[in-house]
Amino acid sequence: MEDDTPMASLTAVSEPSPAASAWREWLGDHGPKLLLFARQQTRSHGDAEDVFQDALVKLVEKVRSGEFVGGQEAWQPYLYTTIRRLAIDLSRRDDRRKRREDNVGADAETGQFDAFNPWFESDSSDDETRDKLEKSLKELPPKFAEVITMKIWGERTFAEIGEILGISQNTAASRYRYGLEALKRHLSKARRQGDLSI
Amino acid sequence: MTPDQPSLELELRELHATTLDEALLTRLEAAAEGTLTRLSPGEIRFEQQLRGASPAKLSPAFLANLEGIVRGVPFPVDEKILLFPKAAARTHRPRPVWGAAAAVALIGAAAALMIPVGNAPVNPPNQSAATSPPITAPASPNLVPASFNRGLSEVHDEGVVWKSNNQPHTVVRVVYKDLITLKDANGRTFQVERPRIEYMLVPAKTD
Repeated sequence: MEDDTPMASLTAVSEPSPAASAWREWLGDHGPKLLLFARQQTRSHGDAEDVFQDALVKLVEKVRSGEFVGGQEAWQPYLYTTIRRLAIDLSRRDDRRKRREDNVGADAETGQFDAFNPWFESDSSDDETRDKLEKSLKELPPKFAEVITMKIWGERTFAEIGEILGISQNTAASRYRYGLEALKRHLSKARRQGDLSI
Repeated sequence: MTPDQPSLELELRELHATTLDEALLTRLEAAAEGTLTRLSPGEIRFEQQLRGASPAKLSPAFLANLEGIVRGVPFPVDEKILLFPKAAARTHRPRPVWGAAAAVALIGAAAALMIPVGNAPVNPPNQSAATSPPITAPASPNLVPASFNRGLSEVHDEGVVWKSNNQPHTVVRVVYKDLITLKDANGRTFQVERPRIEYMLVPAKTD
């Protein structure tokens, strides 16, 4: 191999720990989107972190054992699917637990904790807009909110969303449209009240 | 069938299913035309506005947790290249890699010496100036190569790549400093020092 242009790409391999820094970069890029989706799927910030972490463990186990089918581009659809499935499982367990015990106090604590963990970056829009957007998303029917979260912030296509949710891409597109309309209504109301920049 | 049933049936037949509302009709038309997944300019605009709010970054503690999970797991760059964690790669990498790289380099140097001097391809000084330190080019054009010395300067281990044949290869960067001695018609000698880098793939054994 003579020294020429491919050198630049080979030099990248020479990082002190190439895999670790590649993982860090990947998590930095995609982690926030996946955590946002996990937050939309779960009841609290803590639950969202748990399901995201568990989904990543499942992915890593498959990658390590060579069982994972597809390349790196297939990781995100896999993680979205797994996060959703784990969130549903967790929700069922929580429901059973809540039937057994009075959990009002715990819920109040969770709400207070979540207030310190907003869904969106504070510097990306003003706090009021960010809060309204988060509130509006929470108020949307989950089947609309999940499609919106995946499409807008997860940058998934309708075909991918359909596959993740087990629905057709047309159904995903319809849910997205209804959700977008509902979200627009929520936000327009807030805008009319003069406290929103979107 | 009781006597009342025919009249009930008649009454039911009088009822008509409600007509489709406009929104559903539009949706069905779009689905039939295959345009349902295409967004209108207004929808795209609103989408862009929403995208302006970026998801909150992962907290450092949570990111550290996730990094702990992926520690030791190879990261595939594409179908052919897999980045291995440095520590894991070291435990699997056979030591003779350095020896193999040095051997390859020496074979290259020996091969260069076997080339007949008169036919040895020598780059004119100005041609090698792009990769070499500044060298004063001799004025006489009648230069003949007198000797060639391929000096092995450095050998670096650049990590492991995974090639299409499912074989891990260690990337070895070999830095040479070639010293070419040229003579002109008056017997004056000129030396050209040319640094050169080559990358070699040495098969690596893994468990």
